Amino acid sequence: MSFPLLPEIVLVVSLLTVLGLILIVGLDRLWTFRVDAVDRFEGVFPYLLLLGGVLAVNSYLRQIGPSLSWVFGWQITDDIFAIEGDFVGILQSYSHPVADLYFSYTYIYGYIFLVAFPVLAYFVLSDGRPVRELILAYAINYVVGVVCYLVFIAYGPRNVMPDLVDQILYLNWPESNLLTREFNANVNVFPSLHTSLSVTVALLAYRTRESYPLWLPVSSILAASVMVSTMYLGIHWGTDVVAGIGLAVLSVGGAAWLTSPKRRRLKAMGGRLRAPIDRVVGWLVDLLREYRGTNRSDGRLES
Amino acid sequence: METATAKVTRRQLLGAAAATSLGATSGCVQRLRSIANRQSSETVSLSVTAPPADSDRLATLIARHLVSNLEAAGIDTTLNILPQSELLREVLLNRNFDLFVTRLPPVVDPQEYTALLHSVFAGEQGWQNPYGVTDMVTDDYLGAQQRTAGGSRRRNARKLTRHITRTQPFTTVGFPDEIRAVRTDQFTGWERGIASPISYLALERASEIPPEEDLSLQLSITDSRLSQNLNPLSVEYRQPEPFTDLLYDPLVRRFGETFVPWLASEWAFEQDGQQSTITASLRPGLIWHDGISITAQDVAFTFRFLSDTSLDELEQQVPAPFYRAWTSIVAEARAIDDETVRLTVETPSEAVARQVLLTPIFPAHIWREHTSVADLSGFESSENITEALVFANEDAIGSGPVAVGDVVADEEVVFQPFEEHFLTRGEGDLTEIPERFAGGFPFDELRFRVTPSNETAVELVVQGDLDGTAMDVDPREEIIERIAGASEVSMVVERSPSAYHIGYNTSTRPFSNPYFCRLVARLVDKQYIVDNIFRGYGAPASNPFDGTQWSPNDLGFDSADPVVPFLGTDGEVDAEQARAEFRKQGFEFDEDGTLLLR
Repeated sequence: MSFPLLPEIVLVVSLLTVLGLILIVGLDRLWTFRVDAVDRFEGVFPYLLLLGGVLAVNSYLRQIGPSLSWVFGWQITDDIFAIEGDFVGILQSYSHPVADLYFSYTYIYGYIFLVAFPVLAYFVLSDGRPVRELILAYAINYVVGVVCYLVFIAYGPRNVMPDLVDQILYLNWPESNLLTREFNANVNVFPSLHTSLSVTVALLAYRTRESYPLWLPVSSILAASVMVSTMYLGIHWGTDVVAGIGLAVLSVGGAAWLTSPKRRRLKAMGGRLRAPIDRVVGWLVDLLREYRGTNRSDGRLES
Repeated sequence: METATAKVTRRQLLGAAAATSLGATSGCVQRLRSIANRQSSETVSLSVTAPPADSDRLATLIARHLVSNLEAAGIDTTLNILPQSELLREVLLNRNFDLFVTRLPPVVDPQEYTALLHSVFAGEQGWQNPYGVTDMVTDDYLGAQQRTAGGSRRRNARKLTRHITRTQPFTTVGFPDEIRAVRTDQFTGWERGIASPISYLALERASEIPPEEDLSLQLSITDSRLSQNLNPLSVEYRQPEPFTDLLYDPLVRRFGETFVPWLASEWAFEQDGQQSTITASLRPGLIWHDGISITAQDVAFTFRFLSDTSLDELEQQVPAPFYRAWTSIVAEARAIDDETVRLTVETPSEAVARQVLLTPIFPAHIWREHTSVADLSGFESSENITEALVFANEDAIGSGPVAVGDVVADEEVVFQPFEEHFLTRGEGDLTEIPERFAGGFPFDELRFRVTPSNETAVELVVQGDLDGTAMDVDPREEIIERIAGASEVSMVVERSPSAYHIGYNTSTRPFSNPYFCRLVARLVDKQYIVDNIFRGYGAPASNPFDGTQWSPNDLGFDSADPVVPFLGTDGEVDAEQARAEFRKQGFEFDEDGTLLLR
């Protein structure tokens, strides 16, 4: 898979992340985190593994998905159009060059930052639950999302009513099309994963507002912008966005349920599941520490 | 097509009757029967099938125009957007459509109407009569033009065109201009046209490029079908002028009006009553891409095979989805020796007969292996599909000037010059070959790169990543400006040989009524489409032969359609006038103004 725009994305997202780490997370938090970074990583690793697996299966299914969908999928472009009609066209009739630029950048850079940053920010928190919740919520998003993509076939508004809806993103910024096609077939629009992941982040920002008060308004504004951008750019229908919000609520609810400290049975089961992974990771970490000649117990004692 | 019953159903009537039937007299029963046994009217709901804007923006826009005008006239219509391959599968293979909008494969000779419209082809799959036309008058005219020659054939062909324009089994919208962006820093000679793939061979290296430098001709394709399948017989993967033409040479190629001997070095025509024979000799020393000699047996095989890809193995014949206008008139194809083939053609006209030579030739030793029923991971499919029509043919072995190099699905397709091709070897009699094809190939590699959209393709050309767009781009202002504003980039504009058209499924109601087709055609504003959707890049047409010797002069499109003039102005349907015209033909509307079918 080629990765167009990679240098630009790395640059912009790193810049935003550094800013975020300084202004939202705070340097003192980073400084204390330094000591138990490795332990924290050990704790989160099985979750990352799960998410990685979900993403790998997801990317494979999305590759073969479209051709599979045409065999047994359900075409809903018509139904969506019947529900909302020219809504996206009306939204686009208010287009303005500044808005074109803002929403195009939000759709690509803003979105990647919005989804990537909280992973780091929550990882740094001494409370381990938010990061687990976040990763599980992402995983649920992707699992449900890819199932929907297999079951539902729908073209976005730009493909169905080109007389009313311009391809603002690709006309102004053709290279971005090379990027988006690596991830998305143009028949996978229901629901909008851009929306569901953005809203997921905003909902979790609300749940963690005490730790990161500034992140709540920032993520909310960004999430709202991403949501509008998907429609403004003619990529998604209003219906996809509503479904995306629904998926976000489901994902956050599901993740909160799964990580709730009250679910003892679930916790015990999770513990058994992760035990073999932990053994391997623990062994690797020990190996690393021996190699670097540091004493493992230091970090443990301090935390 | 979906229909919904508008009035009271028979069951409801019977139920109501039963409830009050105690005192029913025989007169009342009579009355009940005469009401309940009548079929009630139904509202019509049509579906217009078209490709998405990403792959054919003009077709999507024409479909949008059609849907909104049908709705305005009171006909309930939905737009069914399908990707190109699904669309062709539904239309050409499954015949599952009401109306569809695509480009029509180029029709150059009236004989090509035979494949499109003759009733014997109504049951075949592919570009054979997809409209399901079964009309004796059409068949008679088709036969007449095939059986005659010269001026008499021209008269018959014009009658045929007039009849088809009158009955409108499909509506010709217009011929678009094909617009392409090309770079002039590595290759020149684009202005001669690059609409047909064979013309890539006629490009020249730019003078500042040293002859020893390896040069790759990189072109964009905005449609990944080529990277998924290279089988010239897989109809759902092929566009009107397919790139597979580069892989499979015919005996003769047509450039404009001229017929140029290609695999054949010469041919002789002889008329024999209603039939004729063509004797063609192959160039000496021809080989397939795998090194095996091309013989007259391959040519004879090709005609037999395209008429029945199962080679009589199956109970039913499984003809190829293309070339039927020509292969169906070849009564016999016989190899006289290794280099000479004799074709018996069912026409007295040389102008018709020589066109059978344009059929690409297939290697018998490869395609003989694909004549069995196609199976899907061990499960046999229906009896009427052979492996030949569906296998992906990724390492296609042909005889063309280029051979398959590398194929990466959904990313790129690389063709390499075939060093043993007669053009490269330069041997034999090449006097009739146009000079622009002489002197070897301009490129050392031909690379088609799949790009997701026209705007991206143009951008990659402007940035110098690609030499040109192999597929034409749509005429949006932003795109035209981008091409015009870039340095070392030119815009090549050519009138397309394939018209946009709207096909009707005339085998089902309501399109089985030709008056209905005509009325739908009158809801299409061709001039508006050319002005606003083609943005002036193109010309409206009343029929595929509009402006040629095969169309009567009074059928020419002249600011309005001469046969099916638009019922409205500036693209807007006059709803009252349209309904009045439908009523004149016996159609009725319900109280909401929705068209009813009885």
